[in-house]
Amino acid sequence: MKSPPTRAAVPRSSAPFATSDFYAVRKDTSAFVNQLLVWLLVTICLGGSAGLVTVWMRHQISATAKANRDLAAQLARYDRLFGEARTQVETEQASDKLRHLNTTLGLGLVPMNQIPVVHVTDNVVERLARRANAGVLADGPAPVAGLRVTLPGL
Amino acid sequence: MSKGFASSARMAFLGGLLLLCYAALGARLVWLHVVDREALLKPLAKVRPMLIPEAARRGDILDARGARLATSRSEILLGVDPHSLLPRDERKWVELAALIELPEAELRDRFQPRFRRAGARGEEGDDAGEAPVPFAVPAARGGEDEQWPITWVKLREDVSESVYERVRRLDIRGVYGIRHYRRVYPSNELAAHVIGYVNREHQAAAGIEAYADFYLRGQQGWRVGERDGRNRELPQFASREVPRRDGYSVVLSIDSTVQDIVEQELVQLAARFEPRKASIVVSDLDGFVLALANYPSFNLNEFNRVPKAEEARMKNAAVADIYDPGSVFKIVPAAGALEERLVTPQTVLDCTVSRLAHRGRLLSLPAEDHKMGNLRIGEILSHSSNRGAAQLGMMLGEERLERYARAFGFGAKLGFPVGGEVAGILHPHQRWYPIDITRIPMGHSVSSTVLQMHQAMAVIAAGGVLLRPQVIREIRDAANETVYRYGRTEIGRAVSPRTAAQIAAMLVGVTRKGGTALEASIEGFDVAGKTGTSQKFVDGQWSKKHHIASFSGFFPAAQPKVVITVIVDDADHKAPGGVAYGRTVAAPSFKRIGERLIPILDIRAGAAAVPALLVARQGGGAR
Repeated sequence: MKSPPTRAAVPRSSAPFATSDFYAVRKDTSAFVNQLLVWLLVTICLGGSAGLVTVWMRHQISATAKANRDLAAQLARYDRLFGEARTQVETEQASDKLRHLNTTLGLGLVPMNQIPVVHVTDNVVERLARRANAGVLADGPAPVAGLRVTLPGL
Repeated sequence: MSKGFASSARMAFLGGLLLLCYAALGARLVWLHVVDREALLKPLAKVRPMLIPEAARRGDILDARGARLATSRSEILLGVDPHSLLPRDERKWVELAALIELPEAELRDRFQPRFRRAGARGEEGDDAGEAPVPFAVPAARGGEDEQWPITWVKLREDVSESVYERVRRLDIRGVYGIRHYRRVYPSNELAAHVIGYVNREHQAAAGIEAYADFYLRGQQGWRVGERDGRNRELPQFASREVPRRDGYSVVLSIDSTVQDIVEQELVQLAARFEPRKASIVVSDLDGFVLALANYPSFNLNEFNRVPKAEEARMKNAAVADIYDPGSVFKIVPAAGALEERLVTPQTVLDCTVSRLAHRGRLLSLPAEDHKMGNLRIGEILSHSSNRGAAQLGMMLGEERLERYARAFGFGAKLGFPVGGEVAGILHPHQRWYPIDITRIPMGHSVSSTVLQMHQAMAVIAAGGVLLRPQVIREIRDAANETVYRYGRTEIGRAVSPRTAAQIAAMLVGVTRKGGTALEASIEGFDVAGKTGTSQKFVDGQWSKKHHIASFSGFFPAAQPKVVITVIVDDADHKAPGGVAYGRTVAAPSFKRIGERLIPILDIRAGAAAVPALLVARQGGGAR
C-alpha cells in the first residue's frame, strides 16, 4: 500500500491543497500573533519605560521641591538665629546693663558732659578764610600754593 | 524552515493571557482612578491636605538713632505627644530635662500617656490637649464615653532657637516644637509708656505697638499642601502658597540717649523727693518728642507681673493725667495782651492791688507768695506775680483769654498718638464764674496734661506756632526702605513771631538773678522758662501740703533747640521747707537734663549762621 506522500515530499503545486489558502492562512495567523506579541512586548517595554520615566521624573520633582523647601527652611533658620543673636546683642547694650558693667568691671566711665566741648563762637568760615588768606594779604612772601578762599560779597 | 514560536497554540494562548492580564490591569486602574475615585479619595482628602500657616515677623520699633526699642524673637513652644514616645529614647529624657530646665520628675510626669473622655475637652488645662495647628489631626467621632488620647502636652513655651537645635539633635520621637514670635524689649523700661507692649495673646495692647499695629503686624502667609503618613509635608503637592509679609518698622523720634538721661533724672527725683508721680518731656522745635518718661514706670518685658494694685504705673501720666498748670499758664495772658497790643514790654502794672473792678464787679485778686510792687510785663513773668497775671487776663477779657488759651493748646487734645491723651479742662468762657478771670491767668480753674503745658511753652520756642506733638519719624518696610516720613505739623498760629520773641526774652529773666528759677540756669546759655507751683485738691479742699511742682522751658533762648518740661506731683514731704515749689524741685532737674543734652544734641550758645556759599578759586583772588 502506498503511503500518502508527506507534506514535504509533495510538491506544493501537486499537493491536494495546493490551490487552497491553507498555508497562507496559517502563515497569516502566525504573523499576526507574532506581530501581536512583538507589539505587546514593545508596548510593555515602552509603557514600562514611560512609567519608569514618569516615576523618576516625579521623584526628581519631589526631590527638587523638598530640596527647595529645605533650603528655604535653612534660610529661615539662619534668619531666626541671626535675629536671636541680634536681639541678644541689643539686650546686652541696654543702658542699665552697660551702667551695671561699668560699675562691676570698675571701668570708671562717666557720662559725657559739656565741659570737654569747646564751642567756637565766631564764624568758622570767616575764620578759615582769614587763615587761608593770611599769607596772601600779609606783607611777607606769599604761600606757594595759589588756593584762595573767597566769601561771596567780600 | 522555522515554524516560529507563535506557531504553537500554547504561545498564542500565553500571548492572549498576557493581553488579558494587561487589559485586566488597565481595567482595574480605570476602576480605581475613574469609577471608584471619589470613594477612595474621600478619606484621603480629609487626612492628607494640610494648611501650613507662616507667621509674619512683627516689625521693629527703632529709636531716632536706629537702636531697637522693640523687636521680635523667634521662640519655640515645645510639647510632646506622650503616645508617640519610644522606650529606646528614654535614656535621653534626662538630657532633655536639663536642656529645657525642667525637673526630671516633672518631665517624666508629663510624658505619661493620658486619655480623656470625648466630652471633657479642655479639662486638663492649657498644657494638655490636642496639638495646636498645624499638627492637629481630626479625631474620630465617638460616644461620650470614648477615651481620647491626649496628643499634646506642653513642656515649655519660651525655648530659644539655639536650645531647640540641641533638643532636635536628641531626636526624641514625639517631642516637637511650634515656632512663634515673641515680642522683646531690649531696653526693658526705656520709654515704656511710649512704646507700649504686645500682650500674651499677641494683641498690641498699648503705646506705639497699638497705634502703629497696622504697619507693625505684617501679614501672615500660608500654603496648602499635603502630608505623608508621618505627618511630614510633601512639598511637591503644594497647591497654593501665599508668602508672608513681615511687618514694617516704625522709627520713633525718641532718642534712646536722651530718654535714658530723662529716666535717670526721674530715678534721682524719685530717690530724693519720693513723689507720687513725675513726668518729663523733651522735644525739638518741630514738635517731635525726643524723650517722654513717667515715674513710676514698668518693665515692658514683665508687663504681666505688675501687680493689679499698681497698674496705674502703666498709664502714660504725661498725656492721660491732668493737673492745674499753675504759673506756667501765665505765658498765655502775657502773650495775649502783648499780641493784642494792650500792653508793651515796658508797661508797668501795680501788683499790690488786691481788688479790681471788672465788668461792673469788684473782684478780689489772688494772693501773692511774696510782696510785689509795680512790675513790668517781663517782671510779672520772672517774679511770677499772680496779681499781675490776673490783671493781664482782665485786660484781655474772658472771650480773648479763652481764645488764646485754646490757641496755646489747652482744652483740646493735641493729637499725640499714644497713651490715651485727654483734652484737659477749659470751660467755655460763657460758663466761667466771675472770679475765674482772675484765677485762670495764674493757671487755676483750668486743667491740662503735662504735654499741653509742654506744647504751650513750645509755642513760644517755635515762634508762636502751636505744633502737633509727634513721636513717629518714619515707617520703613522690611527692606529698610522708607515708605512714609512724618513731618512737622502745625496746628495753628497762637501769636506772632514778634510776640513770641518778646515773651522768650522775658522768660530768660526767670532763670536769672531775681527770677523765680535761678536753679534752672545753665552756664553759657540763655535759658527761657517758667516755674509753676499749684495746690492739689485733696479731700474736697485746696491743700497747702500737696503741690504740683513744674518747670517748663527751652534754650538757647534766642535760637531754641530743645524744650524741656518737668512736672513733679506731690513731693512736699521731702521738699525743702515742706512745700514742693517748681523752683526747688523741678527747675534743678531741668538744669541737669539741659546740661547733659548740650553735647549730645550739639547745642551751641549762639553760633552765627554759616554763609551758604564758599567760593574757592584756584590761583587768584576775587574777580
